[in-house]
Amino acid sequence: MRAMSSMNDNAAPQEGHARLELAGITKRFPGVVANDDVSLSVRPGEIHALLGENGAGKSTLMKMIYGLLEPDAGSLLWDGRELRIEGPMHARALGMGMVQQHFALLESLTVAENLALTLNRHGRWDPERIVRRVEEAEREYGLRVHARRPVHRLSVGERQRVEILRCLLQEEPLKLLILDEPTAVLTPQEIESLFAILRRLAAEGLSILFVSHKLDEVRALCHRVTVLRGGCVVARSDTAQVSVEELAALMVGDAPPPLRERSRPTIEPQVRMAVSGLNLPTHDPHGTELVEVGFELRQGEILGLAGVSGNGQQELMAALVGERAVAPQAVVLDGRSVGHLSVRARRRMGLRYVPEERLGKGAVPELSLVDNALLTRWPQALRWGWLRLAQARAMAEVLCSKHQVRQAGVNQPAASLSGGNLQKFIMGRELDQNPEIFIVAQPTWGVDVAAARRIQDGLLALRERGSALLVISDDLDELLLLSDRIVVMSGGRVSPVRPVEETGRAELGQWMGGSQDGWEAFGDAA
Amino acid sequence: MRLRLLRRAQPSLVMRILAPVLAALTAALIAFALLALSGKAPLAGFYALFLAPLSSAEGWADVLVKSAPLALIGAGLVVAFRSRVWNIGAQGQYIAGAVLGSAIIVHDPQVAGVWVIPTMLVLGIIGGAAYAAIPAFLNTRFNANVILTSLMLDYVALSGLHYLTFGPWRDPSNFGFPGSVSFPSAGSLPVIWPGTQFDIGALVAFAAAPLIWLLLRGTLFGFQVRVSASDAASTYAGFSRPRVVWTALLLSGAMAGLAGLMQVAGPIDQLQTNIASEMGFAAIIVAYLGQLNPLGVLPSALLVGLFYVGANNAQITLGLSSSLGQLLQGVLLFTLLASNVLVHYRLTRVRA
Amino acid sequence: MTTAVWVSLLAGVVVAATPLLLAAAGELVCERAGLLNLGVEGMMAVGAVCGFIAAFHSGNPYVGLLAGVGAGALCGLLFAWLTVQLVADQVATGLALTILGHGLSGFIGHGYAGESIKGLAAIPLPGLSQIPVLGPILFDHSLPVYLALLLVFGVHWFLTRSRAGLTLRSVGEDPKVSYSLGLRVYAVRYAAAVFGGAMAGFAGAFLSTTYTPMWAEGMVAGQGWIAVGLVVFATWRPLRLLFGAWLFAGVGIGQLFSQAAGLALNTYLLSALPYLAVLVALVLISRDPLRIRLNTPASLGRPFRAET
Repeated sequence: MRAMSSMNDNAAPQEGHARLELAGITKRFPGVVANDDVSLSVRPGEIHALLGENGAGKSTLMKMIYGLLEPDAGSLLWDGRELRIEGPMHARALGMGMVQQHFALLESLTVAENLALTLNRHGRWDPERIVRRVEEAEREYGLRVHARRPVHRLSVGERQRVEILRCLLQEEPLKLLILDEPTAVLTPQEIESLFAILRRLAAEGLSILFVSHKLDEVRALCHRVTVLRGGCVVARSDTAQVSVEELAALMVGDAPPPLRERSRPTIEPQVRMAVSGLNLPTHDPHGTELVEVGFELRQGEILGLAGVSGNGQQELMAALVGERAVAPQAVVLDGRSVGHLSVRARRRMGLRYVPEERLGKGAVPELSLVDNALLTRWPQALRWGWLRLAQARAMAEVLCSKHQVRQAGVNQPAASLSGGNLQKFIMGRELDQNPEIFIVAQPTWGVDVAAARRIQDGLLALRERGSALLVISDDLDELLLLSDRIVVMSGGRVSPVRPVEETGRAELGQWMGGSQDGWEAFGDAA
Repeated sequence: MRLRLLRRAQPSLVMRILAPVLAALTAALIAFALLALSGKAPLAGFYALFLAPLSSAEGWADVLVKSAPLALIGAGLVVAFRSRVWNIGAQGQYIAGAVLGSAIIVHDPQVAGVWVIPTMLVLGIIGGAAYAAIPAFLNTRFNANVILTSLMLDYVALSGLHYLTFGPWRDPSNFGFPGSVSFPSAGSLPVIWPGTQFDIGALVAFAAAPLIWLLLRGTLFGFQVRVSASDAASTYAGFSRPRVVWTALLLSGAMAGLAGLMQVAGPIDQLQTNIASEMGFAAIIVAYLGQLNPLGVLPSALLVGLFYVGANNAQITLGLSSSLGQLLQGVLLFTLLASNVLVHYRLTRVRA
Repeated sequence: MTTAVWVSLLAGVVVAATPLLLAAAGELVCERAGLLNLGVEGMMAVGAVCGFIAAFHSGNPYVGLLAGVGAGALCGLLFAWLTVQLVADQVATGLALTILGHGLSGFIGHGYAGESIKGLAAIPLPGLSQIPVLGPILFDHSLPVYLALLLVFGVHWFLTRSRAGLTLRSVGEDPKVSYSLGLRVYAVRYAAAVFGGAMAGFAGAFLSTTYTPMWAEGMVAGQGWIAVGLVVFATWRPLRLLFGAWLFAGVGIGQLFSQAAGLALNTYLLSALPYLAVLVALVLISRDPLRIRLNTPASLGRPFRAET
């Protein structure tokens, strides 16, 4: 094994041997090197940040530590001993716990059953004992969880607490907790209470590996940071010794171009889409019902829809775009009641949208880029029931070159594109049609900073043209950056619409967390 | 050292073509082993099964005649399966087409005129499509599973066929044997290869596959079928799922019905109790063996047709069970499904 | 009609429901693990022919039952190898199994058509079989009839009360999450498929050694498919299988009975009744899409392969 590079130990909370040490870890997937010669060490009681933008290889590295993937090369030392992690069971038996970005919870089972799957693997089968342990843990750590509830009825924050509990309660005492992007889905208040718990656990000697791409959070919480870019470690440091700007430069490499200047709306703000009294029962057994949703979307504005995911955003989108029919007058487009009209009819009226799910909805993974370019534009290539394939091909080629979609030919399947390129492709396909009304969910989710900047720029350009945009996102920071006005969705209802400059993270965060203080003050006037 | 499957970055086109070949070779090997196990001379059996039918012009004609309905039904099933509409009731639709088309003859056994054949063909198409409309209606209106409803209707159609051929439609002059009257010349498809059963119907059947290929490749409906790979994407594109379900079932049902009619008005020349002889299931194999590509259906129909003729031949010359053909079809589909793993995965050696 | 006639009719229903219960309970476990095996019909055919041959040569129908179970389990193993290991399409593999099963049973049963064996004897349960009416209906049957009833309750207990059952449900709901929790997704799916096959083989062997102690080509006659329909009808809940199996078996028996009663109905048309009954039952149960979606194992029919 090769020697670890020397590190600055000044700010670390405890001296002594590393709890976890990675050396020269390499992992290849067909076509990409996800991790290239990655080394990392975490000490007892340390909160260690693994920083990197989307696609830098953080999740792959975490999965290898937790035994979900096998490294192609390199070694892993646990408490000074070289080991091969056979799988998640083995990792847990060593005292590791991991909270993945997509929670490893089974929706139809109760919290106690979910926990029993890993906590009660041996000995007498007794899910009731788990219920009692959950209640004890609530007193001990202040983690509030309803043990007998099925998971699909829990909020995202609660689900995360279940995941953390699962790690804390495991039979082998927890020594290392891995958190993969834990704050992405939380409200600002929930983030604060999560940090408080993590600090307390670290003070008791737990090592925490905090995977994130959010610089201020890393600075606020972590002792040391390892920065990953393009699968390689580009820096290691104590967080106290680097500024946010330095971290940003390390994480991204070349600084992305600045976002375009926002122009003041020049046109008289005319209402393009009016939503009122929108009610919709859920189709999905785990979904959210819409209750009396109402707001207006005006010309030349970006309206941000904030909220923790799973609070009815998907149902709202389905109703607005025509995937699910509602009462005709519940959605009014340029003065016309359209609640009952189909996706096709509304698209003909100039309403276009980009769904949250890219591969599988925004694009069909196994179909070529030509077919995928046609997905929402097929009427343009149609003549007498036949599709003009040459025209479709040209369409796809123009789309790819204009939006810098890196691809190996337009006959390749959409699944061969990277996440960022696919999002550029899908956004480009819709933006190029200059939609009058544009609804987009999670526009920059999972794409790197440069691509995100391009996409945001495209949205602002469309706004300047005088279109009306509704941006649905989990990411409050992005909404505050892009929006003219903002509205919060919670429990299938929406808050009053507030101009961005008249609101703050704190108030929005409370609304996202379920509080309805101040909703009446604006009343129906909004 | 052990072997492991690694996912390819992209599905391999070469393997998509090679997999059926590999599957056919493996199936032939298994056939060889089965013959040896059942105590027959494997070489003689192998010859009777696969080579004898191809050693004479008459044999080729037999294979072509047997393959024709398979190619026709198979091409229809390709449309259904690619739309993710699991119509496995082709058997029933085949019977429905044959029955409805035969009605004219049964009604008037002495019927004559040039209008008879075209009318029968249209009735065959209507019969198959109408019978396929039942699962389409039950699925789009009541959300009922197409696999199960279309399959249950197979058994119902078979009961109906038995009822007719043993009952009201039985030819009284046929010494008590079940089956309708033999079709008069006005109701029989003209033979175009003299001395064999190869008639105009077989030609029509083979022409269907390229037409379906054009339909899938160039039309809006074909695009809808491709996008059906993902329900969510179909909704996003603005396509109506019920319409795809209806079209796919009506089309595949119509083709099965036409195949049924062309069998009773062609090689069989009579509505019999055993007209179907598992044709619907064999067509499923044909569709899959052609990798759900309409053009791939042609060679795979010939291969499965060869199995039919060969098994028949082996039964006559060697006294082997008539189930051998069906057994080999099953083996063939299995070896194909196993070979297909190589389209998406690569076999590599890893250190243990 | 006299009570005696009714009692023998209902006892007949209980016996006729046995193969449906066995096969459906196996298929239910398989589907709850996320595997849709449409090959039940073929596995029953293989179980029937192997059961008959073993019983014929050993002279012992119990040996026949065991052979049927073993042959069915092998079929299930083949299904699991293709769908779990080689990630083959489950619908296609199930159909392949049905076609293969038909062909195989015809091929190896070639010389046994028309032979007969001594069927399995009834074992009246002491005491219970003496209860008037209920005794002869439920407690005066051969061993597999009792086992089928026990199996349904056993499967219910397994799925709701045991650790292994919870694991199986987890794998059926989301194999990816289950895998990341360290559950042995592959092993669970293999085991479920083998169990499903074994029970289908048992059902087939019951037909050829007990129900009608003889073998004929095509003797399964769609009962495997009815069993698959039964699982949907029961919305994947084991106890509801009982009701459905008795219902469908009742329709089948009623058809025979009406002939015996001399009703002037056509035999051929009547023979379509059980299939139509399944069709109608499926439509009634599927009408509410939410109910189906709520109860269907979420990963049913979807392939799973762990990244490496």
